[in-house]
Amino acid sequence: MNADPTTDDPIELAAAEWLVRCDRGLTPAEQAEFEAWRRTDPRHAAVYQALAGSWDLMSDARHAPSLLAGQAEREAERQAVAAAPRRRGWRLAVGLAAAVAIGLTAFLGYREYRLRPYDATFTTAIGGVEQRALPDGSVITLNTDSVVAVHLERGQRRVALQRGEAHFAVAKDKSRPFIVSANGVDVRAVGTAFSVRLRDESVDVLVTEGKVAVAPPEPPPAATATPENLTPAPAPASYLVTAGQRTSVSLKPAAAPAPVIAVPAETVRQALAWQERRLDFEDASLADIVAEMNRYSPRRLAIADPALATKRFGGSFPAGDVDTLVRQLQRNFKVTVERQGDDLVLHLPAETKAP
Amino acid sequence: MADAIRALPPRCAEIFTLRRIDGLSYAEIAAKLGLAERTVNAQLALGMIRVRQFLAARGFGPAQTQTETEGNADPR
Repeated sequence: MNADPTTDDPIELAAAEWLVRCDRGLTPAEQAEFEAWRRTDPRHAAVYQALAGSWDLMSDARHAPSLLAGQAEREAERQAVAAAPRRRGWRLAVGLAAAVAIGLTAFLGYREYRLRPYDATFTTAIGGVEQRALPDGSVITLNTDSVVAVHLERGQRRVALQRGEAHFAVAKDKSRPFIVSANGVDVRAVGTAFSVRLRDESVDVLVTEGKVAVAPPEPPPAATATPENLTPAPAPASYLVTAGQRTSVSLKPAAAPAPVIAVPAETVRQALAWQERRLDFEDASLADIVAEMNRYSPRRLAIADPALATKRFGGSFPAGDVDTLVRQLQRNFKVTVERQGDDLVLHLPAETKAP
Repeated sequence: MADAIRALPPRCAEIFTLRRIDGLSYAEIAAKLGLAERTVNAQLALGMIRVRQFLAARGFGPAQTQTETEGNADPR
């Protein structure tokens, strides 16, 4: 057998990843993806089975309470066991009792912790991506240059997206709806995962798991901008957005109702690539690529030439890494770069138009 | 079995114990240790592979060996 404890077998790595995801609980979409992965190659299923087998064996480790003790105690116990094997049963009983007591205390304490009122504001700088776990078990991932204010109480969980974009993986809790407000638009979820992006003229919602109810702003949106004085229940005009769909609520007065658009899985993945600090583009205009890149970088890009702005390009770039993108554009479109302070202006040189 | 967990790197073993012995959820482990859930996932996956190798080396479970890879497996 291999003496090196790590593996570089991509199948085993993928299998371990799937095992962990199964252990955590698969969404229907992941379930389908998992089945597809298993069918792709008989080795996939075999390697997965081998891993799952030893994972299941590990449940028996429950009967080894010594694991709960500290390192020193563990060492002491090992020596004691070696010296006096008869004491083992007694130690096991005490260990088990202690484990139960610790577990119970932790559980009760944790329940109290989950339900206590909680207020926090999270902020990311330009180019930053941060993940924050809330006491209820939900996880917020903030994109670049974003601000969220979190308010948890017994009856409800409220988050005000004050700037930027965030993805919410919401812990299930039927007694406490999870409501994200962005400029008067309420997005309400029970246990699901979705992104909300606050733009200048719209609020964009992308649902990655489960479903949410989106409530557009009240007709006179004038003085109701703070999240606190919005009614918790969705307005009658609210509508459902389910996994794999997105909607964009216009913030303009008297805007047409926002359509719900189904998005292919690949598009969802690209729209969430920022969580891995990457930006994925497929056949996007340079204008869009530059605008997106500028969200993540204090050094901004500008396009001088309209003919360049409409060029289409794709690829995966580190978010905020303006230089890498510029190098790619130089290679592909022979752009020239003009520096204006910290900013970079892109030109399409005249001579390349007629080579 | 306990030996298999002891053989893991400390952080990995801690996460493993919280999940398999204490039965905490992934979010709970992440919150408790101040880690991203992604890190918890990755550590558990890594731990899983090491435990499998540890057990296989001692004759437990199927002795799955490293498969030959032809580069046709994309984990996505």
